[in-house]
Amino acid sequence: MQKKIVFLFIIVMMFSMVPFAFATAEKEVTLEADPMPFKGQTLNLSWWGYGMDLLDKNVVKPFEEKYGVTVVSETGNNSARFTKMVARKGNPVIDVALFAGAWAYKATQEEIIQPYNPSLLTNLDAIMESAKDPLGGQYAIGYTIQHLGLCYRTDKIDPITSWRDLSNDDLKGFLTIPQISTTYGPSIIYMLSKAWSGSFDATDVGWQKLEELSDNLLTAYVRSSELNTLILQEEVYAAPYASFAWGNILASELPIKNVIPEEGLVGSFSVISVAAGTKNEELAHLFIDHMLSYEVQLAEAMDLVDSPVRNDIELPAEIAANLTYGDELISNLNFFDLKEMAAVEAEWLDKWNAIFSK
Amino acid sequence: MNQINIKRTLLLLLLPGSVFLLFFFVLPLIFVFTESFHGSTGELTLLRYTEVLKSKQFHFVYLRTLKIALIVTPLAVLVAYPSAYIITKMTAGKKSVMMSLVILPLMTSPVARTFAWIVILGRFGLINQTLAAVKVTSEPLRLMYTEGAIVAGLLQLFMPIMVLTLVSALENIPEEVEEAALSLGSGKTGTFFRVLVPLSFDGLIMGVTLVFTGCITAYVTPAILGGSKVLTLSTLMRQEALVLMNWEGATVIAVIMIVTTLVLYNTLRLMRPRSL
Repeated sequence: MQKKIVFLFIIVMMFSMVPFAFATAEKEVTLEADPMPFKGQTLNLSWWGYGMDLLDKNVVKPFEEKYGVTVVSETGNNSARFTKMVARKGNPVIDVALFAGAWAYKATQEEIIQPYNPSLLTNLDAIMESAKDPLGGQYAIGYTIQHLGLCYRTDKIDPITSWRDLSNDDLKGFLTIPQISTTYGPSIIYMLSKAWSGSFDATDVGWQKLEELSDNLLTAYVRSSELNTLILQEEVYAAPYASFAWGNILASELPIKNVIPEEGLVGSFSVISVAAGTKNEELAHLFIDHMLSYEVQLAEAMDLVDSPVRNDIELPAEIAANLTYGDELISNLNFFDLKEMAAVEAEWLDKWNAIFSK
Repeated sequence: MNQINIKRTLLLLLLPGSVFLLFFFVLPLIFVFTESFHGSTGELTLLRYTEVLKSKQFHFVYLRTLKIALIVTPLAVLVAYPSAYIITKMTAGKKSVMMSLVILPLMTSPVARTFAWIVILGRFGLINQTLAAVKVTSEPLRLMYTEGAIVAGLLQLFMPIMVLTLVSALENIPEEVEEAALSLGSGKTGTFFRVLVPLSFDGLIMGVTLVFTGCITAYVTPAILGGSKVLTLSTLMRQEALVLMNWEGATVIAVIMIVTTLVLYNTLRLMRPRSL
């Protein structure tokens, strides 16, 4: 009798598992039938396009092959792409947009990017906390971290240990800094303020020091390629540089050293966002998740394209030395409020022009 | 009847060019003009002009741009007139070689051309190395990122245009006119200034207008050779449009550029010799 009860119980249990078994089978069948749910679709990206061959190898091709989609890139600098997206706001073409600095904040103001859905991003938990929502409102994710470093010619001038040293006499006519309208331009004012007054907020001091510094400036550069030319032609002996340009600066084979000055360096994220009004919202999230994946973050770092924001990326020392990587460097980075920078942009550009129009 | 047909054919031939100009030049220009007189809510206003014209920086940048254009244009005339005159006197074969040489710089990218100037004007560039070699200077001169560098770059950029315009104007003067002037006792210099220059004045006006307009509107050369410390109208306009997204301010600067060019063109037309 007991055996019969046990047998019956087993039979009942087996039948009760049938729906689950079918459900699993159905799921497997669905995946088998459609492993590429977005196959044949097109994803429109708006990004810079610098080092496009490496971006193609590390980011675009793997994504296209994995999901059977086509990626179409619209390339250009922040302002040109921003302008295009604003102009097409009523009928958006772009699905995913990448911006840097105050442009990312301006993109939220112009409503050309929309908040992301964290539940669609499996890699979000693996990245630095500060990169998850640098603009607030979940409008963007920092997919790479960068910094503004300081470098100098060791054979031409005394060692630089502080942002104050940019005013040294041996740099007169041999100094360049990023122009105020560039991503890192406003940071110079903050760093000079900190160096000369002890506070980032005393920007009047920063402006006064910039005015004094203007005689030392050979020019102010707008693109990192300009800085490379100036260094290569030995026109300048010291400069704040964007970390992604360090590889090219080293390639000049001149005796150049980078330093972490006592006031620290400037940090920033390049961000990735879902374009507002995209018709491919899920695919856009899939691409953002792909950008944050271990494979892409590692490949981009190993090719010295982008510094990783994932916490689990381990890099060889020779690669790490050329990126924004490592506890010592990252703990010395100062991040500035993009909202504040966007708010003072016009005023600061006027101030800059006034100084250099004398 | 035949004449009517010819007129119709001529009108039809003019149509594609006129339609293109209407849609891609005249209408955008009208749009730029009208837009510059509208406020943020669409009302008619001069506010944008007063804002720009009140700005000390604008005065400074405008005068600097004007100064550069007023230096480059006469220099281009001075250098191009003798070259154009000599080219017109050459045999067909030599003329064709010379014209190719004149056109050659126009075939290279302005960016490449401008970067070549960095090699020439840099701290360790050709000029500074030569001056140091002949012991004229002990320290390298700062030539890059100055107004002088912009003048040199623009002169190189626009000289071919001036030469081409003047060659075309001088070629239209019958050789007998020059011969008649010489036979009537006018010397070569007198013939050049009293006969050839007045007769080629239309070409000169065209050349001066093209070079002056080019100098006022050029962007790449001032941006690279002047850097961000030497702003000109075009680099200022870029700042307004692409940095501050202040398209209204950029529109006003564009209108001021156009008006400046029109004023120069009409002044030159008034200076045209009356007998022509």
